[in-house]
Amino acid sequence: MQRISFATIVTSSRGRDGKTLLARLLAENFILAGETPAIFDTDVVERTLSRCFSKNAIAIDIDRVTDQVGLFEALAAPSPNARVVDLTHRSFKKFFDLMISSDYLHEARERGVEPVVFYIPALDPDSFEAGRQLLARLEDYAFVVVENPYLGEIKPFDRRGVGYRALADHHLRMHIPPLDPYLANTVDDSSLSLSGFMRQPPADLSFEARDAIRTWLLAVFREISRVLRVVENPGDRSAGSSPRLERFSR
Amino acid sequence: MKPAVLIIGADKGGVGKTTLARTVLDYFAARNMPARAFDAEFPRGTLKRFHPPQTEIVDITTTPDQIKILDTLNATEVKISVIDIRAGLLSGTLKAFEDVGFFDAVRAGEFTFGLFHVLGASVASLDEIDDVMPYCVNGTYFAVKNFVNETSFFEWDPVINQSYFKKTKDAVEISIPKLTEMAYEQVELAGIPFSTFIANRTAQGQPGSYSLVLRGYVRTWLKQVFAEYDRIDLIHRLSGPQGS
Repeated sequence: MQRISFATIVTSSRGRDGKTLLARLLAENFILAGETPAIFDTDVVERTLSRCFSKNAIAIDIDRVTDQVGLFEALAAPSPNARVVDLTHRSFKKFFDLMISSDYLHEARERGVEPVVFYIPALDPDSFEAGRQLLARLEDYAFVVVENPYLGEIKPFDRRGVGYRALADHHLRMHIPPLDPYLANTVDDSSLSLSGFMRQPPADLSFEARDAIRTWLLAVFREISRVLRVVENPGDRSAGSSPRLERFSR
Repeated sequence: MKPAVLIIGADKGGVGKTTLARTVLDYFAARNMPARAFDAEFPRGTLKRFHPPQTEIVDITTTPDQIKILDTLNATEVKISVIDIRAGLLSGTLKAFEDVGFFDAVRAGEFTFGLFHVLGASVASLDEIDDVMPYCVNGTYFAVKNFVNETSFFEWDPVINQSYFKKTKDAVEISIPKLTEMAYEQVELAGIPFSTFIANRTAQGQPGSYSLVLRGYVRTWLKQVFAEYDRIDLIHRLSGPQGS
């Protein structure tokens, strides 16, 4: 049986929600697995992901038709390598409109590519509602609700809306474990290869820092692998169920 | 259903007549209404390049080709005849059809008739309305604003707009939305119907390799065009009772 490859799309409805961090972690996860992922950065202004993967990230301006064609052709092309898209909130609607109008899912699956959408909700009802609507539009897609602990606590009142409930009840979820803010600054360094760190941590960090970052990366990569295993084998019990997310527990 | 003739034309060139004819043929096919087409872009033919099996190139100015169209209206199983008129020939063709008694037959209820008058952006295009409207007394006059190439229309000037359209109270207005240039060009290059492009097929019916994004654009656009034809109830207007 031919193994599927993943086209992962990381998105949220607003900025500063951790999209680029998760896109970077996904790309590093695929690199560690021996793949050469195609990496697409749709934020043509900040290009943060491009700075992390300066040699192979491709900047995409979703407002340009030529870039749209190039991106979606690459996302649907038969390839053993994964694809990672860091989808800026500014292109959120345009991208998913294109994805749906082009019947991308059908084309991708025909070529052995499984798209996976990672949605990171922020703290506010608008973000939950945007996620709920996206989930409804992408009902046939693998859709992962991502909890990013750095975003803080959701107010009890905001947990009552239909948007929140739809995301809280969604079966496919992942959790980015917390990391000490001081160490998070180290991870934020775009020149640091996280897959390289896993192979050989830099000597200029303390043993404790190296150990803490490595433990954190290991937890993240395990979580990513678990989610992708569930997507690849929906009936595989050994893949484990999605955890109840702290911010998204009802 | 009575045999129906749908003329698509404009005396002005470059307003997208053939594009309109292509959408109409796709629409009839999608609604299971077989249609035949005549391409008056003689001798080269443009519509025929996109819809070869159902299209015949005709020299509409000659009697034999007028006979080929009109004398076969009752003889064919296909009830809708679409005629894509070449630029500059619309008024002359309508006059010729009047001379051979076609509009008398429409008045008598033998045939139904519709005119897709494709309007350009200039006032010259509006002046054509006076010339062609009299032929639509017993048929349906469709004023088509074709935005496919992002034309800016005179309707932004309400005074000019009203001065013309008050003369055409019974006109059925149709707006064709814009299609992304790159998508439009790709279908042009492929030389196939819009529906075939969407289905990612070549002219020979083999799997194509057209961009899925561009196919998506064409799919969305054609859906909007079909919705517009549904809105005006095009098939009913062409098949319903006309004449006296």
